[in-house]
Amino acid sequence: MTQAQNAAAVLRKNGVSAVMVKPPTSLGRGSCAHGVAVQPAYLAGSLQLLKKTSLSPLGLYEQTSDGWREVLL
Amino acid sequence: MIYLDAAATTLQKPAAVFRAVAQAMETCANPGRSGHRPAMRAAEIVFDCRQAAAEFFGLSDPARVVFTQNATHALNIAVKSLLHGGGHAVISGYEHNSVARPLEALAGRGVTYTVARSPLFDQDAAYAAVVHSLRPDTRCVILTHVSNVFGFVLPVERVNALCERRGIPLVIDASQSAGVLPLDVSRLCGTAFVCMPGHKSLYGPQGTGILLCCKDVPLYTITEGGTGSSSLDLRQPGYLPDALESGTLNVPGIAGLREGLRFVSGHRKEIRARETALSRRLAEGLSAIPGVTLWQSGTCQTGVLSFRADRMDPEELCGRMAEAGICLRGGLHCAPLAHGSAGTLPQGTVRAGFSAFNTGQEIQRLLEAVEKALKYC
Repeated sequence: MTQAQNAAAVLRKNGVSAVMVKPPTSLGRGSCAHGVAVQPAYLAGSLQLLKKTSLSPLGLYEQTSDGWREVLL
Repeated sequence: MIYLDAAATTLQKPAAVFRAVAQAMETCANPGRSGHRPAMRAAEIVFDCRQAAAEFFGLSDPARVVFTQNATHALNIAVKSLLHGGGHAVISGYEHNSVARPLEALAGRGVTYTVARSPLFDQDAAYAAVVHSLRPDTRCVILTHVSNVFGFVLPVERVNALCERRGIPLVIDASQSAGVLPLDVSRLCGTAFVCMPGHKSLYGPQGTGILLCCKDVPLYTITEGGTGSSSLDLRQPGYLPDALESGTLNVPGIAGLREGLRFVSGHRKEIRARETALSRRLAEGLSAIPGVTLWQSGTCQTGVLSFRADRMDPEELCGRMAEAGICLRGGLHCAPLAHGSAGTLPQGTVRAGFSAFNTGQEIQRLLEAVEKALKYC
């Protein structure tokens, strides 16, 4: 969770609205993981910011009306 | 009541600390587990405190701030991380039993250690003693920043530079210095761990401590269990802070510690100046009382003052002071090595420990009470 909080803090510091979320267990790769949600428009910039700070996400998912869909990094 | 035992724990805290503890108890659930509001609120508070501690001590990554029960817990993790495979350690002649006892416990597992003894209030000698104690198999150096008995400030920066040159990890026990002396780990490149209590000069509640993990060294877990992460894996996670934070955290304590950190972040220099002034005033007053010996340095001392009366045992004098409503600590202060180095064994000393909340009037009342106690003995 701390890594997700760290990532959210970096994004917020750079003006990106980032929200902590609890995704389904199936997305947590065997974890009770927490995640960070951002608006699609900020996704590319967010990933760049996180890469710079060595906080790259373990997985990337899009929330659709049908549920969650993995987006390849 | 006059409280002058801040070297053991600060009793008076900023009002915001009490409020934060109470509020957390009413509103916070288990952080890092569930996603409901009370759990997320707890997680926010915990992370806020991590960030505040990282910023205050110059650590770039808040995940390297590990919450412990106290400084002893943090020291055990640090010492056992660096020595669980055996090897030699060097410690100063002013270490607390929270360093000496873990080392003694490891003695049966191939760990040896050298106490780098040196005279009191001599930083050059303390540094030289560490240099001379190093061996080819030395795996770490453990140094208290400030002696809990005498307030002696040890040469942490110089020993850090030495450790960096020799590639030997340094462990700093910041129990008496965190919140009082500047401590910027971004400038201490030889330091692997810094250990501190939350309940002394950081003004948090008892039951809180911090371990700063400054270097990537293999970690030794004292406790394994649930972390709310990597749950499918039965092995303990290897990443920070989860590797060292199993089980439910002390969220009310951490909430209070966060407010304590805010308090010292804004007032550290003033707090030190106040404590120094009070210590000097007490030293001046005690010097004028016949039969009182005190251990004082004008250059490398902070936070505490030790003294002793020729005609009264330290514990007895502390008892008399307690009857007069003055809280001090007598005896060996869990630091027989320090008393051995200073020549104050076996009876020890009386120790006054100052905080941001003490006043000059309180020092005056202590002086009057000591004078009265010794007048008729």
